[in-house]
Amino acid sequence: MKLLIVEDNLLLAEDMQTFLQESGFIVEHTINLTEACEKAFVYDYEVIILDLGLPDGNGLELLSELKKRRINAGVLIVTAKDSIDDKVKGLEFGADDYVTKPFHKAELLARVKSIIRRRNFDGNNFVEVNDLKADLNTSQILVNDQPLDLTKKEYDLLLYFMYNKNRILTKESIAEHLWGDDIDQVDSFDFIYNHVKNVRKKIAKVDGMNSIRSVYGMGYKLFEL
Amino acid sequence: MKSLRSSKLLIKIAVLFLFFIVIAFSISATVLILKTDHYINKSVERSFIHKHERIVEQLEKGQDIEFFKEAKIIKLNKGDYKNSIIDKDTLIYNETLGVDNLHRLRKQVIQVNGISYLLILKKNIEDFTNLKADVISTLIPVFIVLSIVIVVFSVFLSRYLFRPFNHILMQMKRFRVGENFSYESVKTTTSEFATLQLLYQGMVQRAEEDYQRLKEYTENMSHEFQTPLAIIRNKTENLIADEEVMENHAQSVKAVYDEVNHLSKLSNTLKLLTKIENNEFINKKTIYTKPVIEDHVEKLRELAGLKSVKMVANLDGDHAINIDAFLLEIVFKNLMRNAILYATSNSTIEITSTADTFKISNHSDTSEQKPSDLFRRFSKGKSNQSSLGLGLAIVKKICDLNGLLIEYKYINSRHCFVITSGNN
Repeated sequence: MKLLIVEDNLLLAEDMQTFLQESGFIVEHTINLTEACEKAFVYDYEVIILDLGLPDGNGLELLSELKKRRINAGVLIVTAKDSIDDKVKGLEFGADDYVTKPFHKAELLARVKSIIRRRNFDGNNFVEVNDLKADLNTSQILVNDQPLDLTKKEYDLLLYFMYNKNRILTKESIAEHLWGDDIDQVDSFDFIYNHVKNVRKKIAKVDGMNSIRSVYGMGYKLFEL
Repeated sequence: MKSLRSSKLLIKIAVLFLFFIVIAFSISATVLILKTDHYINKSVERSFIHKHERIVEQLEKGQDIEFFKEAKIIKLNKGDYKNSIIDKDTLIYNETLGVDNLHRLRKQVIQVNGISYLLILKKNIEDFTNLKADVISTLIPVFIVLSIVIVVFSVFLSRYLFRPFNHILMQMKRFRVGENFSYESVKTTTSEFATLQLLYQGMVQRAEEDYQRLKEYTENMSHEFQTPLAIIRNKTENLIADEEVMENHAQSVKAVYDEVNHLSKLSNTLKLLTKIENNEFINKKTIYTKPVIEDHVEKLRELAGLKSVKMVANLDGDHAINIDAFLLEIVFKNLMRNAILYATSNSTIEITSTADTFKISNHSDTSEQKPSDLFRRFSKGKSNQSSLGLGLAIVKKICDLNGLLIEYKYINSRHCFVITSGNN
């Protein structure tokens, strides 16, 4: 699966590129709007990760061009401008989702994967790790074919782990994913501890594997065995 | 401090003018009346003296004095009479005209050739008193006319002369920094108003420039901060993923990671606060709060549940606030999160609204802060060191800018926040 990163900051772009490549994607990178248009019009990308503030224009222009030419690529907007204007405009212009800088890479990966899943309308829509099987069409997670009785947030949390298997998810990253924290944050870490504890309990109840571990007191990791 | 009642300048000037006119008229009326009295007395005196001299002359010559009108001479018996003069005003019936006329009578003892006489002189002073009455009755209408003229004149002043001033005031009222204010200048030949207008235009321009510079600076800073912060965070996440590094440096990496997150949030939140202060959220409309609150409660119910805290909402469908939707979200979100954060386990958070108030309260055993410190920036409860301490400051700022009154109370071991809709 091919992704295109449009980002003028080289350090950031390289970092994203390496990370997404490690996650199994083929990733290309451009630093400006012109180049991005050339690539996007010629090649097929599953998802374009688009920074809005580019040196030669606003990323929204690419969005409207894609729409005009009926190019069917998923678009994830990345922007430092956390104003709702940009977000709303981006989504109106046909973007699939947005993240604001600075974002957690786990969040980026989860969003990219989620866009890909959402666009895959036909066929089964499953994510599988160990004995966990997430059915994205019904928003259920099954262990040994038994559905887990998860709350909405618990489902989001476990899916986030599954999208980011074998990676440490820091508490900050989990908090942002679950509660979209951009405002003054309450001390969410106790809450995360309780959330994870509840999810583990529910998995154990149906004799599932305990594959979520706490790591260095910094976060949690879902190990793929 | 009790505020002083203000009234229009022109009304003040008119009232002062009237006041001074009353004083001026009272003084001039008194002077005029005194003068008239003086004139009357002098004329009567002159006439009496004249008659007196003539009579004495006649008596000395031994002539008859019967032909003297309005004079009477009575020969007195021998004796020692004092030379006293007694004046008296009295009404005397005028048979010809059939009316009473005011007269002045003078009784005086005179000695001529060693004989004492009682001399009684009288003088019709009706005309003089009429003159006095005329003076007074002229003053009153003049005073009334002058008062009317002053009132009419001040109305004219406010309509015409003060028009440019009122225009400048209206323009001042319209001005909001950052809203691309265009000043509509007014033509005036009054130099004070022209100067005022010029100074005000200069001020507006400076305020606008300062605002733009500050806005640009804040935006740039916030924008330019985010990219390096994102890079630091990503690199730190790489380190976190590296087991070898974490074996040896977990604590350091964690510290860097925590601080960069804190910095990033701080930058975002301060930027938001600046935007709120700069009135950049201008899509005000009347929002019925019930569905918004219910939505938030639903979203946070699970979070509260993790702490075994129940959320109970008792809402009035008529409660509405005129505000930007984004800001309203922030207010509810921050207040609810604050309540969850400080609530004791197994307690209840109560959210109620009436037609014009919103109230949220949570149970807590300790009142942690002085109420006055609560809304200050970077003030946070003892139990929560990782919070930025900006949540309530933001709520307060939003309330202040949208004509909402927010109050904090600690009653019956409960922290209560009440928002009352004012005139917005």
